[in-house]
Amino acid sequence: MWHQHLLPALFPQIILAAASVLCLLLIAWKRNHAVVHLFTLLSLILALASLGKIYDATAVDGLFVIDGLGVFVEGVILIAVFFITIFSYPYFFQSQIEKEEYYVLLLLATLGATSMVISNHFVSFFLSLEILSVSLYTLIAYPKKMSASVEAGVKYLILAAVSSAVLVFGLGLIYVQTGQMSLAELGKLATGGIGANIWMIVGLGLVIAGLGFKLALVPFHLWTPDVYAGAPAPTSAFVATISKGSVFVFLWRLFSSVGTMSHAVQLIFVVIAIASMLIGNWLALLQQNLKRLLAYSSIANLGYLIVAFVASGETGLHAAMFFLVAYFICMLGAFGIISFLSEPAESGQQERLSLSSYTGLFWQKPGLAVLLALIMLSLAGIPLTAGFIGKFYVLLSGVYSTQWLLVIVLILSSVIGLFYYLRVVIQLFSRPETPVSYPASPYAVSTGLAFLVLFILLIWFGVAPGHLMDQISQMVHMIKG
Amino acid sequence: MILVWLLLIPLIGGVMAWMFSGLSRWIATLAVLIDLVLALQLWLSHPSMPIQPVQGTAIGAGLAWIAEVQYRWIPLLGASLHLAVDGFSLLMIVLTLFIGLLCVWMSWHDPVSREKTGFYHFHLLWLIAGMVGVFMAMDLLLFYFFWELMLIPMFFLISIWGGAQRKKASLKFFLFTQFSGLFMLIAILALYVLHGRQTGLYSFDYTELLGTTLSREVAGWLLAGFLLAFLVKLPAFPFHSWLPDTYTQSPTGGVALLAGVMSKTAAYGMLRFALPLFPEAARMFAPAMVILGVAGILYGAKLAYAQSDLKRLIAFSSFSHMGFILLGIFSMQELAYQGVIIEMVAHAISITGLFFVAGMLQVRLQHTQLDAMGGFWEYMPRMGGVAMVFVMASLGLPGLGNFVAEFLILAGAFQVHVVWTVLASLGLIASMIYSLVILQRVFHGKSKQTLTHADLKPLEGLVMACLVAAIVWIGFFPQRIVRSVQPVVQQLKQIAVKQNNSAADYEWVWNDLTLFK
Repeated sequence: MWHQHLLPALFPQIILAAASVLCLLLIAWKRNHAVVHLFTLLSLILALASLGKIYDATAVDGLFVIDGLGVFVEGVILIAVFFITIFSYPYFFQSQIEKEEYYVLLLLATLGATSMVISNHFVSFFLSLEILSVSLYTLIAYPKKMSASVEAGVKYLILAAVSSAVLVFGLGLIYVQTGQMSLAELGKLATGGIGANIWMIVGLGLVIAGLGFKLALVPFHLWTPDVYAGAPAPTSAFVATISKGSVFVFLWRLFSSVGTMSHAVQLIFVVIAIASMLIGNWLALLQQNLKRLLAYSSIANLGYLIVAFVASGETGLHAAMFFLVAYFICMLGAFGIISFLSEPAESGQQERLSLSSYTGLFWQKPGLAVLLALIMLSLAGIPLTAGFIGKFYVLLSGVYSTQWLLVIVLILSSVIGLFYYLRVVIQLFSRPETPVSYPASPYAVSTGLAFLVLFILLIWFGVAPGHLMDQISQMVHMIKG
Repeated sequence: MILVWLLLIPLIGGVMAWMFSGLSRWIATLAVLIDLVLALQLWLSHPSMPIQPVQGTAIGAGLAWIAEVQYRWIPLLGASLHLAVDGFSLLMIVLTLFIGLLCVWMSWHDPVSREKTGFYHFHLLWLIAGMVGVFMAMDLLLFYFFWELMLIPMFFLISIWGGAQRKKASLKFFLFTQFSGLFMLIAILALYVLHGRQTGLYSFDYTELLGTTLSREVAGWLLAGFLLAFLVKLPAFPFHSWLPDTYTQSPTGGVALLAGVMSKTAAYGMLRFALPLFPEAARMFAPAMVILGVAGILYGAKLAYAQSDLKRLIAFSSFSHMGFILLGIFSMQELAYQGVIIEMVAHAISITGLFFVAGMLQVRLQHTQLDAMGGFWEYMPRMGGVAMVFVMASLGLPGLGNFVAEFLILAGAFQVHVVWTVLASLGLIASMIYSLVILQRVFHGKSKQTLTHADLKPLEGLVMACLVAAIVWIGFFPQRIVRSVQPVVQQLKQIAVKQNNSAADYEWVWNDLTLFK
C-alpha cells in the first residue's frame, strides 16, 4: 500500500540510505579520509534537518509509525551519531588500515537504528535490527589487526545471531497465536484479551530474552564487557547508546501494544531490572579497566531505564526519554574521552584502558578531567548534572506507580555505583608519583568543541531541565494500540 | 532579587577564582565579604519579625518572609526556584558567610591550599553557595538539589587538599551522606505524589505541601526518610561513623564549614521541614529521638576523652554537642527551640575556633598528636589565650554563647523529660573534662620541643578576634537572636500545643518504649 504523504516522513531513512551508497561511490572514486568524514557529517545534518519537516504529522502505515516518540528518538540518535563521527576522525587518523568504509557502516547502522524506532511491525523491526546488527559486527571488528577487536566482533556476531534467532522464534510464536505481525493490529486484539495462552507467554518470554540481549540486561549481559573493551572506542559508544536506545523504543512499543502488562510479564521485568541494577553495579566495583567499568555501568543504567518501563504510563515514558538523553550524553562523553586519549600503535589505536593510567589527568588536562569527572557524577546521579534529573525522574515515575521494591533497589544500587564512580573521580584528581604523559592529539579543535557541547548539555539539562522536559512531554505521548 | 544575588555572588566568584588563580584569595574574600554585607544588612534591617496572627490550625499559617522570589524552574513537575528567607534562614546565612569569610582568610597562609589555589577557592565558594541555597530553598526539590550540591565541593576539598587518608575519608563521607539523602528524596517524592493525588495540584512547594493530610503510618515512613538524612548529616548517634575520618582529614577551611555549618543544615532541615511537615509523626518519634540525643551527648563525650589526636578529640566533642541539638529539637518546648537555634550559632563559632587552633598547630607541627604536644603556652601565648576562650565556650562557661544555648535546651527539655535531661546534664561535666584536656595537654605542662615564631600571625589574629567577639556577643546578647527567630519558634510551638491535645497517644508510645526498655 503506497501512501504519498509517507514519503517526507521517511526522508531521514532515505537520506541515510542514499548517503551510504554515495559514500561508497565516493570511496571508489577517491579514497580520502577527510572528505568521507565531512560527507558523513553533512548527510547526518541533512537527515536531522529533514526531521524537522515532519514535526507534527503523524503518518501511520502498516510497517512504520511516525509519531512524536519515534521522531524524538530519531533526532537523539542522529545527534549522537554526529558526535561519534566527530570522535572517529582523530581516532582513525593515524591508522594504517583503510578507514573510509568505517563511515559507510556507521551510516548503515544509523539507518537501522532510526528505522527501528519507527517500526510498527515485526517485519520492519526485524529488518532494521539486522541492518543495525550486521553493521555493528563489522564496526566492532573494524581494526582488523587488533586481536581484541576481532575477538569482540566474533563474540558479538555469534551471540547476536543466536539472540536474533530467539527473537524471531518468539515473534513467530506470537504470530501463530494471533495471526498478526503489526503492533497496531496486536493492540486491537489486546483489548479483547490475549496472553492467557501458554504459547503467547512463551513467545513473549523469548522476545524478552532476545531484546534483553540487545539491551544487555542481566542475565543476558555476558557479552557486554568484552565487546565494549575490545571494540574501538567510538564503536563502543555506538553500542552503548544508539543500539540500546533504539531497541528500548521498540520494547516500549511492543509491550504497550500488547496491552496492560500481565502480572507474569511485569514480574519478569521487575526481576530483570533488579538483577541488572544490582549485578551491574556490583561487578563494576571490581573493574580496573575503564571500558569494562563503563560496560557494567551501562548494564546498571539500563536497569534504571527498565524501572521507568515497569512504571509505564505517561510519566514513565517521559522519565525514560529524559533518562535516555542523560545517559547518551554521559556515554558519548566518556567514550569520546577514551578515544581522544588513545595513542597510535603498531596494529591500531592503543587505548588507555586501566584506571591507573588516568591518574592525575586533572593536573595535565584539566578540561578533560573535569568533563570526565562530571560524567561520572552524572552517571552516579549527583545534582548539577543531567544524570541527577534523569534518575530523579525515574524515581518519580517509580514512586508514582508505587513500585516501592524497585525504588528501594534503585537507591541501594546507586549507592554501590557511587563508590566506583567516585573512585574514578579521585583517581583523576590525585597526584601521580610518576607523571603520566598524555600525547598532544591532532585535530583537537573539532573534538574539543564536541566535548564543550556535551559539557554544556550535561550542565544545562541538570540545572534547567524544564526545556527538555517540555519538549519531551509535547512530542512524546503514550502509544496505545 | 537580593536572594538571587546572595546565591550568585559566591557562584560567580568561584568561577572567577578558578579562572584567575593568582588573585583567587582576593576574589574569594571580596565575594564572600560582599555577600556577608548584603545578608547582614538584610538581617539587621528586620530586628524582629511581626508575628502574624495564626489563622486556622495549619502549621505554618503564621509564616512571613522577609524576602521572597519565585521563578519558573521545572513547570512540568511543579518545581520552582522558590527562595525565601525569614529571620531564622537569614541568621544561618549570615553565620555561613561569616565562617566562610574566616575560612578564606584562615587558608591564606595554609601551605595545603598553595597547590591549585584557584581551584581550592572555587570549591570553597561553591560550598558556601550550596549552604546558602539550603537555607533559603522553599521548594523541596530545590532544597534537595542544594543539599546534594554541598557534598560535591566538600568531597573535592577533602579528596584533593585533605590529609594522608583523604581518599578513604572523602569516599566515606560522600557515600554516607548521599545514601541517607536518597531516602529523603524518596520521602519528598512520595509526599509530592500523595499531595498531588489529594489536591490535584502537583507541587514541590514548601508552603503548598505543609497542609498535606497523611495517615499516621505514611507520615511516619516519610518522616523517617527525612530524619535519616538529617541524623546522618548532623551526625547523631549511631550514624556518626563517617565523622572522625572526615573531620580529621579535611583541610582546615573545609572542616570549619563542615562542623560549623554543614552539620547545622541538618538541624535547620529538621526545624524547617521535618517537624512542620509531619507534626503528628514527629511527636511519635520524639521519645526515641530524645534518647538518641542523650546517648550522643554521653557517648560523644566519652569518645572525645579517649582520643589521642587533637582533631579527633574536637570532632567527637562536636558530635557530643550535636546531641544537645537533637534533644532540644525533639523535646518540643519553646525554650528548647530557642536554645537549639542559639546553639546552632554558638556551636558553629566555637567549633570553628577550636578547629582553627588545631589547624594552625598542624601547620606548625605537621601533626596533631596530643602526646607530642605540651607547654606551647611558652611559645604561643596569644594562641593559647584564644584557645582557652573556645575551650571555655565548649564546656559551657557563662558569658559565652554555648552556655546560654545549652542552659535553655536543658531547661526546656526538663519540662517533659526529667530523667533524660538529668542524664544529659552529666554531659556538661564530661565536656568540662575533655575540653580542659585540650588546654592542659597542648598548652600546659613541660614543653617537648621548641618552636620559634609560632604565635598568631596578624591575619590569624584577626580571624580569631572575630570569632572571640562573636561568641562573647552571643553570650551577652542572645536576645537579639531569639527575637529574629521568634516566628519560627512560634510556628514550631504549635506542634507542642497540639501535643497536649493528643497527649493520649503520645503517652501510649512513651509507655510502649519504657516497656520495651
